[in-house]
Amino acid sequence: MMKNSLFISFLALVLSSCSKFICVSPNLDYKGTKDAFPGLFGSNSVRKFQTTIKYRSAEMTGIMIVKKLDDTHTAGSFVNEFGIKGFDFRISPDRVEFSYLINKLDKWYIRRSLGNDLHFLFLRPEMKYYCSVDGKPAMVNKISHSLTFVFFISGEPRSAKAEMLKRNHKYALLEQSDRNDDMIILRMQHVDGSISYELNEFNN
Amino acid sequence: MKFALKVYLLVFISFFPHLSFGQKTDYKAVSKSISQEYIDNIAKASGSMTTLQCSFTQKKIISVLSESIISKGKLLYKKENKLCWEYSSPYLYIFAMNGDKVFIKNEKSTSQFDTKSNAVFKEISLLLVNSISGVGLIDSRKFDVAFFENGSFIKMELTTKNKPLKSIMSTIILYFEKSTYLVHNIEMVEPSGDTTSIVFSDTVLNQPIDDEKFTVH
Repeated sequence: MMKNSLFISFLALVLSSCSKFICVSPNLDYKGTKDAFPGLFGSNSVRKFQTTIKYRSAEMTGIMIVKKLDDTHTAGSFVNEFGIKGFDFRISPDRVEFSYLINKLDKWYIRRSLGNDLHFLFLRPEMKYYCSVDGKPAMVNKISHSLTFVFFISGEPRSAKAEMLKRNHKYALLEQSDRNDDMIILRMQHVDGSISYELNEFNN
Repeated sequence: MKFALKVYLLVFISFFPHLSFGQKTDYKAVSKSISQEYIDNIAKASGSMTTLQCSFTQKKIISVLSESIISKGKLLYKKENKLCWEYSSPYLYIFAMNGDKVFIKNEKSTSQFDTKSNAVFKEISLLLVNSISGVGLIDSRKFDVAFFENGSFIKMELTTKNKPLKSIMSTIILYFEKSTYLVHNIEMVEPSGDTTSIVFSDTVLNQPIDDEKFTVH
């Protein structure tokens, strides 16, 4: 009896830790436009954003500059209004690396959290096929065992939404929209409300 | 937030309320006695100044991206402790100090701090006042100071000794006009090699400025 209980508990634990299958009915013959989720760069290889990062009651403002290096790599920097750098980063499909992080931010947990957030903000995977997520067509990008980005295909060329999932639970939401002047606005918020990002593009 | 405060600190450490135009070539080191003479004259010029108004252009070079960011704005100063550093481009951002009060404003919100109850802002306030007196930056505990000159200009190079500061800013360079002992531009060099330069222009000295200009609503 005891052995059976243990076995059932173990089985339940194993099953609950397994990844839930997110991608339902993948359509491998995707015929939509390549950038069904709006890309970041288009004809511009560099974008500059007025940026506000809020963490609980604290706020950090400054300028985020991101640059397309090639089809799969993006690099960026965050500096505050007075020109002092907060961090430099480089994004590839499966990871974010910081080449510089100001001392106060250089903690392993900040690197991890900020890295995931920047990855989610600026990664735009190539759309090869789509899945159905919550009944909506979406591109599912599995970054790691526990981290998944879901880019919804809205059909709207000027706005789009995405979700970051950690262990298959919604962790953060992203909205990308175009202003009338073709400048991009990015808004990202953790589901628990602890961290938010707002980026408004400007010409410089 | 701490990051933002640190930045304000750095800006004010490097801030001197005197302006001029400087060339950056052919500088040679000066003797200790001439250095002291320059220090005295800088303090004297600062002492005779009651108000200052000017425009500035800031250029941030991000070496890792080979890109730059240009910001522009206006600066107001009124003795003893009133300052308004206002960016108008690429977007509105104001840092103002009026006595014990510090205001930060952007397009969406305004924040107010009291330097009496906030140790960091109190430190900023003290550094600012020291800078305005003309001797605040020449502190051997915080910086190694070296003077250079050419025909028209004095270059004051401050190498950071303070460890926390050093991780953000390795060198601060101020260029003074020899004829007025006023600063024309400031260069800040980060350990990564990035630089921020601020060039001042359209300077007006000792003209009345309404106190209200230093309070942001």
